[in-house]
Amino acid sequence: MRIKTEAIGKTFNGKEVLKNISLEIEENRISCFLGPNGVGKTTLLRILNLLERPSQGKIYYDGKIYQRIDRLSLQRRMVLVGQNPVMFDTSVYHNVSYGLRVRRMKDTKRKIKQALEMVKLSGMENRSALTLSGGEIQRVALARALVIKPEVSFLDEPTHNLDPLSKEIIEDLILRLKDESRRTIVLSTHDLLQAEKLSHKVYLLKEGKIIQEGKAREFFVSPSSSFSAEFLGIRNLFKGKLIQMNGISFLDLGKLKIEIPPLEKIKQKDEMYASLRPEEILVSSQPLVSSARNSFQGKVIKMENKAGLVELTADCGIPFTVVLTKRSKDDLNLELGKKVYLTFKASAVHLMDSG
Amino acid sequence: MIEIVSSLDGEVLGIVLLSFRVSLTAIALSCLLSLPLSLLLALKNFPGRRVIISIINSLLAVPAVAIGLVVYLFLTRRSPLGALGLLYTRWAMIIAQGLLAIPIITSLALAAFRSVSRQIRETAITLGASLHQFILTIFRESRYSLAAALIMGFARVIGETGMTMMVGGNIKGSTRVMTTAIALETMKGNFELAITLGIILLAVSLLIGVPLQLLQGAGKR
Repeated sequence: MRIKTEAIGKTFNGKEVLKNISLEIEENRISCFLGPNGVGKTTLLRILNLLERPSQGKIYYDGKIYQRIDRLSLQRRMVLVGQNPVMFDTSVYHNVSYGLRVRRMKDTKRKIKQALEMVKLSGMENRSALTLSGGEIQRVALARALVIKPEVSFLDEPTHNLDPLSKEIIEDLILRLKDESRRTIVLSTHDLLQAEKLSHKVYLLKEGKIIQEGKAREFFVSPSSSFSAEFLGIRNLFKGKLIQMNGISFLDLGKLKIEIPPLEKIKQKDEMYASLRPEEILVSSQPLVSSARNSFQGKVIKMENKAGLVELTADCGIPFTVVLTKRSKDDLNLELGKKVYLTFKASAVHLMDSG
Repeated sequence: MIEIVSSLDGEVLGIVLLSFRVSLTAIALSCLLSLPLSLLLALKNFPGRRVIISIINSLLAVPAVAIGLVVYLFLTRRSPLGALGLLYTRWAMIIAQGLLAIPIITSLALAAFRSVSRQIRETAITLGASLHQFILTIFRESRYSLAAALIMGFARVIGETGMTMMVGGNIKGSTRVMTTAIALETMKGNFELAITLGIILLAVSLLIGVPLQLLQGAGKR
């Protein structure tokens, strides 16, 4: 189903939470609303799923303006899984079968078995849904939604507050659906790396407005505003060539070579972007002996106080930005021009292809 | 004991059955009004909603004998509804007991429906429930407290004496129920029948209490 919105706005008690949202959800693709908490992602998903009415603007489903009379038939073509899903007070089986039952769909047993396999909860059919853990609830909720094979699925922060195992299972599932490209999925997240990993197209939201849309990696390269740059945490972004020496992968930045996690198929000429969170870099005044694969010597060229933390830039041939606490800065007697060593693990380097 | 049990003759049995028939009918009829009303109050926000809720809550405090008086006045021969000839019939008792149960069931059912969270309601909607499937889900989710509401209503009306006597008349073989019979037989000094009925009534209340406790426990899980 094609979904298009025209200048949608939403006001709650005089507060404008969404402004002038015009977008077209691509079919059979995964779209993602990205932004910090409280930016209106949830409201937008709820409006698209007809759980909330927009204060202004129009929504088109398959090119037709939404009218109340079509609510049930439209509702049955899409589904939303909320940020904190709830279970009906019955078994897992009856929870997952709910959407099938209300649609009077056949072959329930087999479909439910498949759906539970998909979220790695096979054999849980007879468990009381009220005894599940948070991660299990999120997974059952996902199974309960996807078992209907809706034309459009809305997933609000699907891995919000989850244990690492559940998070991985859900991300893997969404990745599989991304590869299959047979379902239209709209998800929301505050995690840029997750947005980039799980979706084809990202909408960056700020204060209820879409301020940039496209592929996540384009945001890195050309953030449309200082907000996107800041929100994305773009500090250490490098472009380089992938090379392999003695079975170890490096990104050649010209003046430096950064060791990166092992890649299986590398073509010599592959160009890639790499980013590094400022928190991932260790600063020391002496060379460190550690398991971290990257360590460079440099000189402090900039120091800035930011909300109790110190943002330090050191030139190691290319500039790196590091964040550390004020106490660490004082303990290390850091000052401009001082010689420092920067150390980070290969796995801290986040790669994006430039294609 | 054996004497008492053996005295469970036709008359006693008739009285017990009549009590159940009258009170169950009264509950069933009041549900016809109470459940839709409480569902509406729980799910829809409309002007006047708060007023209706406070009226229902104040009706909880109305003494049964006042309801008996009102029903009596409406059904007595000289009243507008007098021509129906309902006074001193089972229907008069059913009407009075039903009126007594309406505020109780409405307010308890309202609390039960309200305990179904907004998230549960929206989950039903987003998964594609139609209006009646949605309402069924609300009933199912609140089933324990809902059943408790009906049992509380039933326990209240089956134990009601004065009001039932006023409008039913305690006519032997016609409108004599457990409570009115016990009152009458005790006053006559006929303790054997009074005690038999008393034990049965007590047993009924206790038996009602057990599932009520279980339901309330289950609802709190």
